[in-house]
Amino acid sequence: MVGVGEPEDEYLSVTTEPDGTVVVTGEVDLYSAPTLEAVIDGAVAGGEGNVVIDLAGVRFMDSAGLNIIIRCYKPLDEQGRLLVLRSPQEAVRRTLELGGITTLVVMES
Amino acid sequence: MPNRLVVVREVAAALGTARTANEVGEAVLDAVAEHLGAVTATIWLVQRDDLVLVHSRNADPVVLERMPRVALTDDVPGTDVIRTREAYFFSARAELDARWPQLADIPSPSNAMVVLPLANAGSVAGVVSFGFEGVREFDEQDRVAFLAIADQCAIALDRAQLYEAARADAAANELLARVSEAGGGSDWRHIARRISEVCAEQFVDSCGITVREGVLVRRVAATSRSYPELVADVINRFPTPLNSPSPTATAIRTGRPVRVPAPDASEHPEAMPAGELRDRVAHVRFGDSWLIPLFDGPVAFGAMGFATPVGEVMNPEMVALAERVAERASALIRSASEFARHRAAVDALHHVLLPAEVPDVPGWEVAACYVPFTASPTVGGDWWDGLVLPDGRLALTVGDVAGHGVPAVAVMGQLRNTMRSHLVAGLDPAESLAGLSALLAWTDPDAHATAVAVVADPGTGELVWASAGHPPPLVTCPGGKPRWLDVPTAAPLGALPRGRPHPYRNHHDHVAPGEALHLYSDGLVEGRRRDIDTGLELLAAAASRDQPGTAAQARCEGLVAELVQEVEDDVCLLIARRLDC
Repeated sequence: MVGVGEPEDEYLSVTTEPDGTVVVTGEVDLYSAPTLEAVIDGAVAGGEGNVVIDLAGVRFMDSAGLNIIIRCYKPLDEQGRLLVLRSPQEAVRRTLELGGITTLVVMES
Repeated sequence: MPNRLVVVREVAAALGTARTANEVGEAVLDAVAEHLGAVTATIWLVQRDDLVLVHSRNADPVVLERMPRVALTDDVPGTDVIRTREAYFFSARAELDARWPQLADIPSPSNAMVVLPLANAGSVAGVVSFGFEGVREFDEQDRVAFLAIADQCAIALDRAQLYEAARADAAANELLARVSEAGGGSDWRHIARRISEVCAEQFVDSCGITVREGVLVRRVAATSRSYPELVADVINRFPTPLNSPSPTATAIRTGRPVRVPAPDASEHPEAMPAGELRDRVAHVRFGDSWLIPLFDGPVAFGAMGFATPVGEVMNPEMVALAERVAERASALIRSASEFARHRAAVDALHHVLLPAEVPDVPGWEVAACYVPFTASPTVGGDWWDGLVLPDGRLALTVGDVAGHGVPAVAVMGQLRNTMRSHLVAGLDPAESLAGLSALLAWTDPDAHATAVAVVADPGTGELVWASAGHPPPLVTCPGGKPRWLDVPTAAPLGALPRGRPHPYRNHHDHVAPGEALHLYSDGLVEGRRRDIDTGLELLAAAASRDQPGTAAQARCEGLVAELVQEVEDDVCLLIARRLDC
């Protein structure tokens, strides 16, 4: 399990489940985004199958979060792997949709 | 009456040790009360165009309340003495009331009264007056003695003023020294905060520092003794347009000090959204406040505000000191390296990479503005563009390159020009976006961006437009319901790997006369504590309040100021309004 505890990142928690699912809880913005990116980068580089990110606990995400998802999507797509975004709350789903992300990734409720 | 010579000597001795105007007043009043039987006494000094009460004993509260300061042009005993340089000796109150019937209602424990000029080196610095119980005749020797006492008093006051000026100089020098200590390092925001703290500690009640950010001004530091709990809630928030009538914006725009006399607050709260905080700000009261511009060469980059508590004015010496503090603060903030870098980057962006002017199309009014995210030391990659195509149609784009700093700005410049070249060559919006996306995939695979491109027929209002993961354009009409150009979104530019078919589609719409098309970057609708739909609703509501008479540029800046309360991103807004026929 990868915990994140930088003082300025207290509002974001990112953990990796035994099956590789990245579970994100809290707020993803300009300041917390680098933390999320580091963990997802690890999942992209370290695994072979699809990357699943569980967003159920994300209360807030802005364009900084979308940028990370796009950056992770590109290498996965080139390797024929899928990026799966699971159970986003409605506001986050709407942000992903308006940003054109839902046309790239697999949305899983 | 005792030996008058003795009294004059006693007064002179008492005054010898008096060092302040207050001490002079006390000494002379003590001596005159003890030896000459005065029951009331006042000292008034000329300050610019007024005669100001500086010391009193036993004066009725009505005097203190009604006449703490009278204009030299007013007709009262004191001003008359200043004008004529002649002393008044009234043996009874009735004589005074006969000459100034308008003062007859002011109660006084005294009856007989003398009013003496404080003459020194040829000028009259003020007056001193004494009142006596009962009726009293003043013979020639009495008069000589009182005039001698007044002369002693004038000399002592002159000395006291020199002493107080020296002490004020020392206090000013200490303040300037402490302000200077706030300098150093690269963090200009920290320097601004320290300066405001020093000023609120030992100079004024409240002090704030505001800097210009493109078309907005934003308060970056503030310290207040009277309103300490309000400060944290307003710092960095509620920017106002540089073109607004707010005193701070006016000082920055004109490069001249602006005074806000009581009872107004130093800042107008209209820029804030209605609510509890705005109500609190609306209740802020100061005695006097001044906004002094902060200069970099001939250009004001900000302003520093100084405010006194209710009931206190800033005298000319204080205003002069505030100007010296502001001058030093300018130098300290300017010399912080991050500030210089920040401004150089913003300037470069404004002057080189964004269009110098909006396109001029008959029947349309186009306006645009860009606001950098200044908490970040680098600028971001938002852009806007507008041009008239060879076929006479109007092309408008807004885009947002992911990331900040020089790389994002470089990509932004490239995308803006490539978009121009595609549209000028006759590609439609979807084809142009496809071209941009392919360019990124081939040449800069780590970069991506969102963008919206619109081509409008100025005569008919027909639109062709396409979007790449960009927030939806908004169309408003005064008095009508706003509508979103909302269609299924497509992937951002550069998100799809090279060689993949592009997902962009042209959409068609129409802008009627009087309607206004709004293109913007997501910074305008995103916010720390609100989801995207709330941000979109706020934009639609604010944009719908558009007044037909308002120039689009003012509208553009006003909208940005209203919506970006806590900007955490760059913001771009472009408005194209089709004029009524």
